[in-house]
Amino acid sequence: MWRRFVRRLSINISIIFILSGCSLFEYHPYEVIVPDDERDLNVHAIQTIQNDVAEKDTMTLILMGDTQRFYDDVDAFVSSANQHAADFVILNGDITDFGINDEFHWVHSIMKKLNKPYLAVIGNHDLSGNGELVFEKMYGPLNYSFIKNDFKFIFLNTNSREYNFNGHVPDTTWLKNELKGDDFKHAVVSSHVPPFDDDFDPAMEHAYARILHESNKVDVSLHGHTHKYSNTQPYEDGIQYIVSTAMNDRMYLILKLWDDKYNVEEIYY
Amino acid sequence: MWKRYTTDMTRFYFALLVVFCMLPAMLAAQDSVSFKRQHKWYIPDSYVLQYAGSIGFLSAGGGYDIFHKKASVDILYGYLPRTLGGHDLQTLTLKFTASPWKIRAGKTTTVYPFSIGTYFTYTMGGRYSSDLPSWYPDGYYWWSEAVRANIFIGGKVRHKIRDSVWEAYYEVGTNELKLVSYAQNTGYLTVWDILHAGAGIRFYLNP
Repeated sequence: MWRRFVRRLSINISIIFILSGCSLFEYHPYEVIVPDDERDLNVHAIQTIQNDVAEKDTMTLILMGDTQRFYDDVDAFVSSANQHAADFVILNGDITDFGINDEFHWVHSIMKKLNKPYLAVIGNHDLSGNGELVFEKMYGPLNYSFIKNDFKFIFLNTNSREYNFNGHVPDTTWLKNELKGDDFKHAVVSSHVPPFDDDFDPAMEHAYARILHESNKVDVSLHGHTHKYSNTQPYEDGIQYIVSTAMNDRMYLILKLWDDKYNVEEIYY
Repeated sequence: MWKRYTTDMTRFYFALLVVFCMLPAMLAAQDSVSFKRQHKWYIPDSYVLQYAGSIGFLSAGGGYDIFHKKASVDILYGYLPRTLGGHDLQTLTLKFTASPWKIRAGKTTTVYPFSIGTYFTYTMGGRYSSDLPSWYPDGYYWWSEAVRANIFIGGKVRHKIRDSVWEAYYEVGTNELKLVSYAQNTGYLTVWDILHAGAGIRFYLNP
């Protein structure tokens, strides 16, 4: 009788393991395991934008970020954002709270329900643990750009404190290069930490702002990190710094860009 | 992100740990009768090999029986190679497991249907800080990268083969970071999202 019980118990245990799949077996919270269909998401999103977004004068973007540990709110955001027309969504960093592998997958499993492509930028929380490796595998390079309808969209890592203010983050040489060229008329720069924040390398703040200003191409600079919506010109140089709030505030922004003009709309959900 | 000088050192310490654990076992194997009941307090009662469980791809170590063999304390070294997990991860785990009930199932087999326990994991290497590094303001991040606290439930089967005892166990648990993620997002996350499982075998030389 007991022997039959043991046999039944062991069969039950194996069934539990088989049903739940191998995913229940975790090797480490900081493991860097990204399934094939979740790799190079930014690259694929840019391809979709290039193929699907029509030639036009006005680009419409949804700005949001700091999804960290706000899964319920991100889920509600997707339902709301799907009811608004936009060319793409920018997730402006702090995708995760702890930089652990699972969190990246949880956020993407929600964001992939969007009916438009989304692009992710790395935030300071994403750099915890092995988050930088997970981000690179899942989304692609930390600094990247693309051109669409005469706009160049530039995304970069500005989380200087995570690198102990070593003078290399943000990569201003790369940024300067990206802002050169005559294959675009306007540039939009997007990063997690705004230059006027304490977590941005203080030694680089003004040099960074000057690079944007002297390019004569940048009209808006997009950020997250502060968990507070702001829309200001801190350097009085004609460049608008727009900071989206965290997802638990249940608010995001719709940004319209045409020529050197822009319009910001606050959406509460 | 930061220096990786610790890798060689941790490999060295692991080699030491293996020697420390295996030497008495090899000596005991040569002379198991005289060794019985006379071994030093630090020599493990059992040896463990575990798969997964959020402490490495494979983990090995020793266990000490406490509370009249109703519970055990294990010290494990876990390794996750780069090819399987994107980065070489090495952990040290201190685990407490209680298995209060047993059901005899034949002459040589005992089932422990329910285990409950906790384990703390330390991930080695300068990449993973234990305390907040000096260049952060106080309280900037509230958790440690290197140290994880886990809770789990599970079960095991014990089987006696001649003079030795083998156990097979499984466990399903979560850590404090995933638990707090779930607690604040019960709408989107399910309990299954935050669970991780491990399974292993335990071997007693002188039961």
